[in-house]
Amino acid sequence: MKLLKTFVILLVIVALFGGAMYGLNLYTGPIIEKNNAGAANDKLNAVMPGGTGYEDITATLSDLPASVTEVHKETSGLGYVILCTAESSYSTAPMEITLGVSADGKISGVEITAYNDTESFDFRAKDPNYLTSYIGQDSALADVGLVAGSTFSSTAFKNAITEAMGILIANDMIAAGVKGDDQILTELIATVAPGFTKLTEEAGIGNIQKILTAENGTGFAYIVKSGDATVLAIVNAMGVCKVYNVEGADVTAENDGVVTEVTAHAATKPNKFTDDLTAKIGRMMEGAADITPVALDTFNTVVSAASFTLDGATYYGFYARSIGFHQMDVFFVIDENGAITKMDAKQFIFDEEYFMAFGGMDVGAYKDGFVGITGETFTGDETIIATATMTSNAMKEATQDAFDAFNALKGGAQ
Amino acid sequence: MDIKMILGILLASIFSKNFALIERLGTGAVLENERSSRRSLTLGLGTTLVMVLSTLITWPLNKYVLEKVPYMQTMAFVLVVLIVVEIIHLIAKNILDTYCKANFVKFAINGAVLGLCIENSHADLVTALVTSAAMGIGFMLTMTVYAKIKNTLIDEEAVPPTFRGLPIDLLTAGMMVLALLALNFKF
Amino acid sequence: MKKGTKTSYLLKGTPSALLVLGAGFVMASSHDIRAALGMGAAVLVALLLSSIVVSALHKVIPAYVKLPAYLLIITGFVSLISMFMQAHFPEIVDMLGVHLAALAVSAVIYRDAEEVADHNGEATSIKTAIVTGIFFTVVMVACALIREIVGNATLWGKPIAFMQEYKISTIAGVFGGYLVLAIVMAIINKITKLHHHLDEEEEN
Repeated sequence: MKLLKTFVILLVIVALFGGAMYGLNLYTGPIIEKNNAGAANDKLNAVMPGGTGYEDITATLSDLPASVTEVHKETSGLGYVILCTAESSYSTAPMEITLGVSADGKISGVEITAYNDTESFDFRAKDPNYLTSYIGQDSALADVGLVAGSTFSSTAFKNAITEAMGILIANDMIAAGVKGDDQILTELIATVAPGFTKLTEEAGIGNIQKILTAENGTGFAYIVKSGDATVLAIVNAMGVCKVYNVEGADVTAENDGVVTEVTAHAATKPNKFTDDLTAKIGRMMEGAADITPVALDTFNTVVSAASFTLDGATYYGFYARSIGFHQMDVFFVIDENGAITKMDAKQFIFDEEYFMAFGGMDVGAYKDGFVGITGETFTGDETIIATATMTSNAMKEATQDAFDAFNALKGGAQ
Repeated sequence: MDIKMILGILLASIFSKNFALIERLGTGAVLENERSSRRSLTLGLGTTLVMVLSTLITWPLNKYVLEKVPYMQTMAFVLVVLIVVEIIHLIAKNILDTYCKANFVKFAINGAVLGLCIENSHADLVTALVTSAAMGIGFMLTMTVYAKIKNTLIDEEAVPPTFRGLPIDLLTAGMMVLALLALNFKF
Repeated sequence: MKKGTKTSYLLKGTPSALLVLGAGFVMASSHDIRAALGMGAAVLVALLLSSIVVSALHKVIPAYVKLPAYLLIITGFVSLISMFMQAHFPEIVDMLGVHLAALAVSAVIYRDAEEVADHNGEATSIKTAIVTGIFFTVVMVACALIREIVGNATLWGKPIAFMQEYKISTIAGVFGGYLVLAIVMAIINKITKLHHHLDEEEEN
């Protein structure tokens, strides 16, 4: 009897409230559904002002890069919204980006919905106007730079935007933006002078329109007016200059005036790399004599090279400055046959506590691992330091660059 | 589901995702607890049982029945928890009531159990069950440790009068939270 | 749950005695003023409605069914409130998350129903429910003000420009909830001690 009564009372309560909920749901259900749909559109509307409805066209597009996750078309024809991701060496997970592109090919808005890079390098904090600078740009992204102090993350972000807009261009949905000479030449630097990392820009003087200085000291790049044309002149840390036109062709021979002007400018900012290398060779190879600096026309991370003799044999010393977690200073001694005799670096990893496993690293063995490697036998695996990917990659770059410099030196009729 | 994952869920439930302290579900039941360790453990064990059995029923219920009427979820879950608690209480009345000198039914129906059932409905069944057991153990340990700290380490006389009672309880629990968060490198 | 503890805050029937039971949702929803107000309103309405129903029905429902019956009544009202809020304040529901549903089994509302509404007429029950509800709202809003401004440098979700450099994010985090609520409660203890007799008159 008690059980029955309990059951009945509870049943009545549940039924009453169930009924009430059902009733209320008739009223709230549609509103909630509308809210949910609105929330999905809100994200897209944030980068597409005035957008009304969206259609997911991701499946209809060809050649979708992995970084692009979704493409939505605004139904009234305002443009497209792309959800994409960007990943840099500082990413714990890909950065998530919402990008709005209007029908005329201009960026209508861009937002980062999930930022997963090292927080202290957050470019949004370093430059609060950075994202705004993308608005109104076409696919050339002519007026968009990188954020100093957050180069890796902002480069990854910029590349993701370019890639995302590329998918719209490839599918003939928007027209590609036209790049100016200045922009083409600036972008050319990465190809012709791969060692010039983290460039900072300043205004030029005279015919020089723009000066770009590599933070790692590997050299300078100049955008110079030469007659009617604009050319790119690069000067490495050893004072060697090369000139390229907008087609990317080497036009050094036809531009003596430019070479003189930029070399003179570079000479006003001398470096001490040769002195450092000479001193280092003296310490690394006791008894080294006839240390003669050599100027090479390489534009990688090698900032200084020298030849010297020891016990009757000739050796070559190279000083490479690649950037890992921090600036690296790496020295190589390579013998006549192209094999590494000795490798040393000022410091492999600066922030030991960050790389907790570093305490267990045998630095001596690591250095010895380089001995005997030649340009042909080098695989890149020799440089790996466990848990320190960025430092490993920087070591790999420095080693490869030293071999390239050696080949340039040997090829250069020495 | 391998041993690594089970261990991961267990550690997360006890430390970084501790229900009572970090997720703040069932905090009241923990803060109020000043029972002896033996009683706390018994009550906690009972709660763990309730969590696992409730999940075993609410998960399929949610998946196959409540999908169409999501607004009935809370009502249905409370009903399930109620029934499970009553059944456990009926079976283990002697142990629970004499050991704990407390109303197990009132104790076991708390935010932690209901919150767990709701959160578990998003995971798959095996994960949900492992999570329930782990969260129950975490809950049990938390209330035992908290009671122990409160009863033996806190000198009520030394606490300023205005901080006696709830404020010092909150600060005690807060210190436990700090310790748990420290394991997570997240303050 | 057991009564008569060695500490004095569990004075039967006073709102601050109930706070320990609601500490979880108070801390979980006091990181943002909007969430605090939303939760405060939900608590107030749930208390009020269940008080009215329980005090009207307490003579009809036999003693042995009281616990499940009252629980289900509270759950029903909480569900209805949360449906209503989901329709009209979806952002707040998102902020509160599972804590809104967990209100259904909160000992705060249950104890209010069991200890006040079950023994008293509707007038007293409604009065107690309103006092308790407002008390919870005030505590949550006070905590939220501190936590949002100091911890997050925002007010009502809007950034406060000059505070941006000085925010202490721990205050907005989990530990901040405990710390700020402890301080707010200590201040309340200080104040209510001055008006102790008044407090008792109001509550009993």
